[in-house]
Amino acid sequence: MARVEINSITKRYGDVVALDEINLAVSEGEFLTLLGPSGSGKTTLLNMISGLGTPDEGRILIGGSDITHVSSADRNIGIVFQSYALFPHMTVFDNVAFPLRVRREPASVIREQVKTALDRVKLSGYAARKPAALSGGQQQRVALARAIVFQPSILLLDEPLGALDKNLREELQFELRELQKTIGITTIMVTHDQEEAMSLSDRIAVFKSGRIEQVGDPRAIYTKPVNEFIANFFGANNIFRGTVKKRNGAMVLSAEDGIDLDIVEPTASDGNFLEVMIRPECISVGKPEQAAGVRGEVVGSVYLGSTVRYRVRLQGGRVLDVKATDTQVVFSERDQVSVSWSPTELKVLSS
Amino acid sequence: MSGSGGKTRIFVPLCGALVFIFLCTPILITIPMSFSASSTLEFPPQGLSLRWYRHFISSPIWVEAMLTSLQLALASSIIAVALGSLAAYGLVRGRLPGTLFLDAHFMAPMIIPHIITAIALYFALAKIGMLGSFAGLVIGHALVAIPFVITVVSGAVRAFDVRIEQSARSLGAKWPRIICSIVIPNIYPALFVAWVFSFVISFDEVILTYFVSGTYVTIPKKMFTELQQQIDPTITAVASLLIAGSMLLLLVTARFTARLSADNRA
Repeated sequence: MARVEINSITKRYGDVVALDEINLAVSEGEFLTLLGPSGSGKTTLLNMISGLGTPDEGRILIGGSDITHVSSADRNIGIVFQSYALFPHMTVFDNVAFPLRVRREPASVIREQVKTALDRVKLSGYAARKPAALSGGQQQRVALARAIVFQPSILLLDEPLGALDKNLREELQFELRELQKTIGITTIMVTHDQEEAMSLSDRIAVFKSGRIEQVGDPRAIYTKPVNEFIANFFGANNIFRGTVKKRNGAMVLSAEDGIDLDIVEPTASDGNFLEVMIRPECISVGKPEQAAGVRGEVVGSVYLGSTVRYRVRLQGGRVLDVKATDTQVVFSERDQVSVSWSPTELKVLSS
Repeated sequence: MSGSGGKTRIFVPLCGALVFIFLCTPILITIPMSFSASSTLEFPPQGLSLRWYRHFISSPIWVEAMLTSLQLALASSIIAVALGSLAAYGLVRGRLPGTLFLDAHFMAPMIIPHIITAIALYFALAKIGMLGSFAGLVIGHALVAIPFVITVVSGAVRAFDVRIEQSARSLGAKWPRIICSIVIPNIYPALFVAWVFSFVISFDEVILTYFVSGTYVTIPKKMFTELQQQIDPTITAVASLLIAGSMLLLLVTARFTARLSADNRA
């Protein structure tokens, strides 16, 4: 269990700046996720930490030691790849025992530690099998067991659950979180799946074009995104921009496309520019007879079992993304509806 | 496919059959000739006998040639596989700047006509006083076999996921261990095939051998001189033995690689 410090790491590939002076600190035992779209630099940073790549500038410290130019073999880290990268010619036992054998542990110690590791990932009894005889989920567990058996200082996960189907992924997410908490190892994970990031992490670092846009715990990032990119990354969202006006004694945001929204922002004053967003799940859709709300037409309707996703075009042309929980009344395309929300659900992005 | 289905369906297989017969004819003629009872080359043979096989086994020169060829093939194939495999691995996995140039350099003996390589080798060995030595022959044979080794082994290395090696490295393994414990156990079929290639190439090699062998006699060299001097059916007996040997080697390699694919699928 060790602390990780990333100081001003820069990496260039020709003219492209893959990482631009990245600074990040990971506490002992923390689960931090590097999240972002493809090409944002998150995997590049993980490669710098693992030693599979070397930065052009900056330092990386693990447990206080500068390991920036230390060979990957000497960093004492565990890595789990998306493709598992198990040794195909070895049994599960030999795969998991490999790092211990490299470290010349005695056979009795190896046997014991491999057994413990396999128990931890719930694969006791699979020791004699070869990777080809395992399912994807089982292979991933073996990869995990192999990465933790030698008690490394940190654990790195490179989109570890990407190749699995949804049900299996959710199950393994849960187990992964439990395992990490049990052994208390500092973990850094890379993913582009924001749901996965939210369910596993203590903190998330959102990447874009080689820079970190925001670092925070899942709740902070979701409820207080610092910019539109982050707000959009965590699910479709609806952003209104406009000027604050005072009407009939109340504050109203007069949005660019003509819609007026009631706001309860205490800091807003007449004439200010304001940018707000409303989450799809905070919007209600009802029949047009309901007086309050904005009129619109349904242009998309997807029934998802527990929710219904609508796209509603309002007057003025804007299309809102809505996630409705009322699955009894389902609207279809071309239905006229009225959308409404509580003004307290409007989140300010910038002013 | 064009509309002339009728003609194509007869023409193509017919061409294939003709080519096949053309390729097999030397084999199909040589083997019966080796059992000929008379002392001239004749086909079809009048009278059958094993005398030419007996002549081959009892002739000291032929036996020496066979032993020389076998020793030479063994030595040069092992060296070719060792050096060629290392080169292949370096070319595929390495991040050296001049990879393209190095690749062309290693492949050259396969592209340049053997006679040119032979002349170059002649002068090079003469300069260091190794002309006519066994070691010089081994070098020459390994030289022409290495491009084939590189081709076969680099294909296998390329097909092996580099992340498995990266994984081993992150777990603490250094180069020697990665090569021995991880890479070789996974690419050994290619190494075997490369070795067989090298062995056969060396055994067949006549041009370089003719230039640099000095007093050493190999089977191809002996056959070449025999054809020029006295032609008796011993040569067909030797040829038949070579054909049988090649087929056996081919069969072994085919079974080996087939069993491996079956194992991998299981």
